[in-house]
Amino acid sequence: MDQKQKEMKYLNATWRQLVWWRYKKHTLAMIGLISISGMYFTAIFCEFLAPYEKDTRHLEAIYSPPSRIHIFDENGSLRWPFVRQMDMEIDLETHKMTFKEIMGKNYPIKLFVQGDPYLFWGMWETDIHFFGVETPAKLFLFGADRMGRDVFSRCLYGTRISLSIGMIGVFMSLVLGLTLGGISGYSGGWADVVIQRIIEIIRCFPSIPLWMGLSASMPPHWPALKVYFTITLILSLVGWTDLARMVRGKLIALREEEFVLAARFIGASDARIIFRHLLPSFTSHIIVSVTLAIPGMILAETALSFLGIGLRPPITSLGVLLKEAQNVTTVALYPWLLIPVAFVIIIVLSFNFVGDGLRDAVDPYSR
Amino acid sequence: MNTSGLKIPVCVLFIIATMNFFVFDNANAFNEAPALAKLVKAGQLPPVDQRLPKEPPVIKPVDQLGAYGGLWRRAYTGLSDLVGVRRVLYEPLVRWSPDYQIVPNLARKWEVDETGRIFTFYLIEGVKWSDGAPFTADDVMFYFEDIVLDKELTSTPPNWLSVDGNAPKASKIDDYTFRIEFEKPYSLFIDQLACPHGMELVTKPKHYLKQFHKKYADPKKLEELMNAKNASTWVKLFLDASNLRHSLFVSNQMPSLCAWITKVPAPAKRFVMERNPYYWKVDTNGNQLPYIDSMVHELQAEAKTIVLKAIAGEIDMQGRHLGSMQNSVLLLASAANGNYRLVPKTSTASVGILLAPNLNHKDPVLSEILNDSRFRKALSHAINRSEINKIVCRGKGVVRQAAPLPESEFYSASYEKAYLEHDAAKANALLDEMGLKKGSDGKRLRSDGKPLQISLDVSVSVPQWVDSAEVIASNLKAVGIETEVKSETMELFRQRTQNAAHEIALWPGDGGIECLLEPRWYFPYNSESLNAPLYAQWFQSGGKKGEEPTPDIKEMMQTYNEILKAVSPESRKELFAKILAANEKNLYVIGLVHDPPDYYVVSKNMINVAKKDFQSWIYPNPGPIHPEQFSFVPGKPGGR
Amino acid sequence: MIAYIIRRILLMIPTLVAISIISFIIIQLPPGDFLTTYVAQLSASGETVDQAELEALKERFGLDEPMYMQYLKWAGNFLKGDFGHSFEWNKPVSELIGERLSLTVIISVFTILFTWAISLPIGIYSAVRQYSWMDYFLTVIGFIGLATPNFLFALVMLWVSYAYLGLSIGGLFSPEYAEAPWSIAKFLDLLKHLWIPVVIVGTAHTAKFIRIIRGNLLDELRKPYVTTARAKGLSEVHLILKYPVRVAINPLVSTIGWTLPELVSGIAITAVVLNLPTTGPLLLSALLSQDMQLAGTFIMLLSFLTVVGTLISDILLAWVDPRIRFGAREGL
Repeated sequence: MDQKQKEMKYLNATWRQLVWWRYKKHTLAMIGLISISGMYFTAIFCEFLAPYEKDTRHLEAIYSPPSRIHIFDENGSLRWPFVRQMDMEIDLETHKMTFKEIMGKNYPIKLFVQGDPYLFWGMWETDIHFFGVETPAKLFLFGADRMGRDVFSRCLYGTRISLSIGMIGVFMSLVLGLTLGGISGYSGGWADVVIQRIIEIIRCFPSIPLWMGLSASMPPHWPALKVYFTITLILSLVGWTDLARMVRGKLIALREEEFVLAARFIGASDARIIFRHLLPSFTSHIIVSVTLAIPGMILAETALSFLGIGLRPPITSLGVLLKEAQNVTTVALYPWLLIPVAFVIIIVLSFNFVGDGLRDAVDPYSR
Repeated sequence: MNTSGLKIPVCVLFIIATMNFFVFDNANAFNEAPALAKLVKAGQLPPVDQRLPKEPPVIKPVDQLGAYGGLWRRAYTGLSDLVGVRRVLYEPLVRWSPDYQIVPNLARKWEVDETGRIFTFYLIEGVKWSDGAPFTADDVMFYFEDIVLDKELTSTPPNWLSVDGNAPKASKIDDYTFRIEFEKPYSLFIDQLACPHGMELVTKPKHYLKQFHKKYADPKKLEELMNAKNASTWVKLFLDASNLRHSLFVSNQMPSLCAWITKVPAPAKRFVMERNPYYWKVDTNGNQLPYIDSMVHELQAEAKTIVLKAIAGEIDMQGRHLGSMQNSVLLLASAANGNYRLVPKTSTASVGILLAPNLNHKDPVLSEILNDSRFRKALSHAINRSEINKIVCRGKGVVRQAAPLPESEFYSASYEKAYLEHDAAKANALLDEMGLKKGSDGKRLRSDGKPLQISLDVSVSVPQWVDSAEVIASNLKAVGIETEVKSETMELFRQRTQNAAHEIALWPGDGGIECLLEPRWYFPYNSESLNAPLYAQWFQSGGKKGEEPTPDIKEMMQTYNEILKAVSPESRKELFAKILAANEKNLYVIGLVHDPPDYYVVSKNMINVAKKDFQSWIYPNPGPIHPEQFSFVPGKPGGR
Repeated sequence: MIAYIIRRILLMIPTLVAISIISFIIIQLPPGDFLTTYVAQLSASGETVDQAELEALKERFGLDEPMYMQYLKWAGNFLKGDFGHSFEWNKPVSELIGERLSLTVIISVFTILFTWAISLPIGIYSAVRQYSWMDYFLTVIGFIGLATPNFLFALVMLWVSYAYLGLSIGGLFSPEYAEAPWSIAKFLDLLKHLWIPVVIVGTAHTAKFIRIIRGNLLDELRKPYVTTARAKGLSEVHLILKYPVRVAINPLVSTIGWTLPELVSGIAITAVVLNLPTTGPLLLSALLSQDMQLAGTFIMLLSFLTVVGTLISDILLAWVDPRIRFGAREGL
C-alpha cells in the first residue's frame, strides 16, 4: 500500500516537484544552494551583520592579524567567548608591527552591540550591529588591512557588490540574449544573418582588449554608482552571446514543432507564440545558463580589478579587495588579506554546483 | 642645491679637482682587467696607458680597493624603464658629488666671466669613446651646431639650455677647450649641466652620428639606413639614433663615455652591458675602472616580481622599483635571511605628497574659493597629518609643509611648520569667515547656494597616494566639505591636471633640496606646477600663452627671473627667501609628510657602495655615488 | 561538405575586416595615445618633457596623422604581411610576437594535456559513480581552479616557489639557461618551471571539460547497448572504457579549435604575474600604453586563431559525427 501511494505521488507530481526531488539527490547542489542563500542573506543585511563600517579606520590596528577568540580566561576557567585588548608596537629597526594581548583586559563578544553608525539600506539610521565587542577592544575576525579597516566587514560589503554585479549583469545579458537571440531564431532571414555576424565578431574578439577599451571609454568622472553600472554593462555586453546562441538554437528547433504550427494556424500573433508557447518550453535551460553565467561575471569583475580597469575604491567589491591584496608583501607578511578570495571561491563553486544540479534535474533524459 | 659654480663673486673663477678627484701621474702603473689584458696581448686592443687619458681622474673607492670581475644583476621592465640604467651611467661635463655639490667630471675645470654669460670649459685631454675615437670639443660643437641649431632637428631649443627661449652660441677654442655664450646671464647653467639632461652635450659622438646626419652623410647611404631602420625621414632616423633616453642602450654600435657599454641591447630578456675598455677613470692604485665586468638587466613583466627577486638575492644592487613603504617593510623583514643589506636613500622631495589646489579652475565660484588663501589654510588645518604619517609611513615620516628641506641652503623653519596643527575648530572658523555656511545636513554651501563639492585627483600608480587621499577626504568631510577621491590612471591624471580641469591634485613635492632647478611647487613654473598650470604656461611662453597670473604670483615669477641673472649665491638666497615668504603667507600648496628613506638592495658581496644617498631625478642616484668603483668582495664575484 | 567549408571561409572575411576596424577603435578608446603614456611615465620618474620635444616625438611616432590614415596604413601593410612597428619596443611587431609565440604554444600544449589528464578521470568517475562522496570530492577539486582568480593563484604560487621550493623567481628558465642554446639540460630546466603556469591555467579549464565528459557519459550510459553489454557480463571497466567513454569524449574534439586562442589570451594574466616570456604580458602592456600596431596585430592574430579554430572544430565535429553534418545548417 505504502509502495502504491509513493508511486501515485510520483505519477501525480507536477514538473516542479519532480525537478525538486531530482535536485535534492545532488548533495553538492544542495550545499551550493544553502551557501548561496546564506551569501545573499549576508549581502542584503551586511551593514547590520558587519561589526564595523567598511571604511572605518582603526589607527591602532594597522595590519592587525585576526583577533584571537578565547574561551578560557587567565585562570583557566571557561568563559563566554571573548577577545583581549591589543597593544601595537612598531619596531624601529624593521618598521614591523607587533601586536600583544593585554592580559586581564577581556571583552566578551556580545550580540546587538552599539558601534559605527550607519544608514540601514540607506534609510534608517542606527548604530546597532549584530555582534561585536566594546571599545577599546576590537574584533577583527579576519584581521585588519593597511588602514586598520576590518577585513571581515569589508568582505561582507564586497560580497554585496560582487553578488549584485553578477545578478544585474546576468539580467542585462539575459535581456540582450533573449531579444537578439529570439529575433534571430524566430524570424530568420537577414536579421538572423546580421545578428549572427555580430555574435561571431564579439565571440572572436579577445575579451581582455574588449574590456579594456570599453571601460576606458567611460567618461572619466562619472560618479561611483554610474561606474558600477557601466562595468556591469560591459561584462554583460561580452556575456550575452552565449545566451543568444542558446535561445536561437532552441527556437529554430522548436518553431517547426506541431504545437507551434497549431498555434500559428489558430492565428496566434508572433509575440504570443514566442512568449506563451516557445519560451516556457525552455525556461529551465535559460535558468541553468543564467546560473552558470553569474560566477563568470563575478570572476570577470575580479579580473577587471586586477587589470586596474574595474571598480575602484570607495566602491568595495571582492575584486577591489583582491586587487589591494595583490602584492608580494601581503602574501609574505599579511596573508589574512587574502581571505576575500575564499568568498570568491565559495560563491563561484556554489553557483556552479547549483547550475549543475539544476541541469541534471531538468534534463529530460535522466531518470 | 649647490651653487659652487658661482661662489667667488666677480671675475674669473677656477674650479679644480676636489679631494677624490686628483691627478694620477705615474703612467706606468696603470692596471687593467684580466679580460682586457688578454685582448691587449692578442693585439685586439691597444695597451691600457694608450687607452687612458694621460692624467686620468682618480676615484677613491668608498671602502677599499676593489677586485676585477663579477656580474652585477639588476632587473627592468622594458624600454620605458631604461631610466633605471641611465641613472647608473652618469657621465656629464660636471657632476653632483655624493653630498650634492658640483664637481668636475669630463670638464676638468671651467670659468665663468663676470657678467655670468660666458662659460669656458676645459676637457680632460685624451678621453676616448668606447670605440677608441678621441672625445674632443668637436663632439660638443657637433651637438650645438648640428643638432641644437639645426632647424629640422630642433624646432625650439630645450628649456634648460636657453634663456628667454634663445640657445647660446658655442665656439671651439682648441681641441679640448670650448666656450658657451648666452645673451643674458644664466646663473643656473652649471647646475643644469650636472642634471641628467646635461649629458646631452657629451653623448653625441660626431664620428658615429655623422652617418645619420643629412649635412654629412652620403645621400644614398642615408637612404639605405632610413630603409633599414624603417624611418620615413632623416630627422626620425637621426633622433632615434641619438636620443639620450635610449640610444646608448638599444644599439651596441653607439660609442659611449660610460663605464659599461651595451653588448646585448634592450629590450632583450637579458639586457647585457660590458665594461668599456676605454673608460677614462682609475682608482687610487692606477687600476682602470670599472671593477665589475658586466651588468645584466633581466626583463620582468611587472615591477612586483622585482621585489621578490630582490629578497631572493637575485639582485646585486638596485633601488628602482624597490621603493615605497610597503616594499621597505618586506625588504627589512627578509633582510635577515636574504643575502643583502639595505642602504637608505633620502628623498629630496619636500613631502611625499602634497595638495595642489587649482588656481585656474574654470568654475568662477570654485575658482574664487580655491584662490582664497583662507580656504587653503583651512584645508591645512583640517588634515590630520599624523594619521597619514601613521598609515602611509608607519609614523616614520616628518610632518611638514612643502618647504625646502633642512639639507637645503634655502631651508626656512617658519614655512616648514606653518599651519601644520590638526585643528578642526580653526579650520571651521576660517571656512565660516569665508562665508561658506553649513547647510542643515552639516555640509557647507558655496556662495551661489550649491553644495560645496571638492574632488581630489590622484594617480593610482602608487597605492599610498590613494590611501592618503582617502584619509584627507574623510578629514575634509569632518569640517563640512563634501570631498570625493578620484583615483585615475596616470595618463588621465595628467590630461586633467595639465588642462586645469581638476580641483585639487595630489602629487609628490619635488624640489625639496634642488629648489632652484625644480621650483615647480614654489611658484607656477612649468606644466608640472599642477596648482596653476595656466599661469605656468604664461610664464614659460613669456606671456604669449596661458593666463595672466595675479600680481602676487607675477611677483614671484619676477623674483625667479632675477635669481637666474643673479651672480652671487647670497643674492640668490635672499631673492628665494622672498618667494618662500610669499608661499608661507599664501600657502599655494599644502604639504603633508616627508617620506622616510627608501632603500637600495645591495648584495652582501658588494662593497664600495656609499652608506647613504639621495633619491631624486635631478640627482640621478646612484650615478653620483660612482657605480664604476662598486666591486664584489674579492673571491666572491656576484652573479651567475 | 566542401560547399559548406567554402561558405564558412567566405563568411570569415567580413568578420575579420570588421574585427580589424573595431580593434583599432577599441585601442584608441582610452584617453590620450602612446605619447601620453610615454610622457606620463617620464613624469613619474621626475622628468619633464617640454613642448618642443613633444612635437618631435609626435612626428616620430606618426601620431600626427588622422586616425583613418593610421588605420589604412596599418591595414594596407598588414595585407602585405608587414605587421608594423612597435613604439614601445622599437622593433618590428612580427619579430616581437614571433620570439614569444613558440613558448606560448609550448605552454598551451602542456596545459591542454594537463587539463585532459585531470578532467578525464574525474569526469568518468563522477559519471559512473554519480552522487557518491568521491564524486563530490573530485568535482570540488576539479572546480576549485575555476573558482580561484588566476592572478591571485599565480601570486601565491610565485611566493611558494620562492619560499618553499627555492626556484628562481618568475620566468621559464633559470638564469644560467636563459640565453643558452637548446639542450637536454635546458629542456629539463624548462620543465622544472613549466608546471606552475600549467597548473594555474590548466585548473581553470578542468571544470569545463569535466562537465562535458560527465554529461555526455551519463547520457551514453543510459543507452540500451550498455545495458545489453552489462547483461552479457562484460567487466565493468571494460564495458565503460570500450564504447561509452569513446563516444563521450568525441565532443572534446570540438574544443581543440577554440581552446588554443582561449589559452593564449587566458595565459596573459597569469603570465604577467609569473613573468613568463610569452605573448600575454606583451599584449597587456601594448594595450595599456596604446602601442597601436603591436596591440592591433595581437587582436587580429587572436581573432584569426579563434575564427579558424571554430571553423576547424565545426568541420571536425561534422566529420566525426554524421548527425551534425546533415543538420549542419541549423547549428551554423
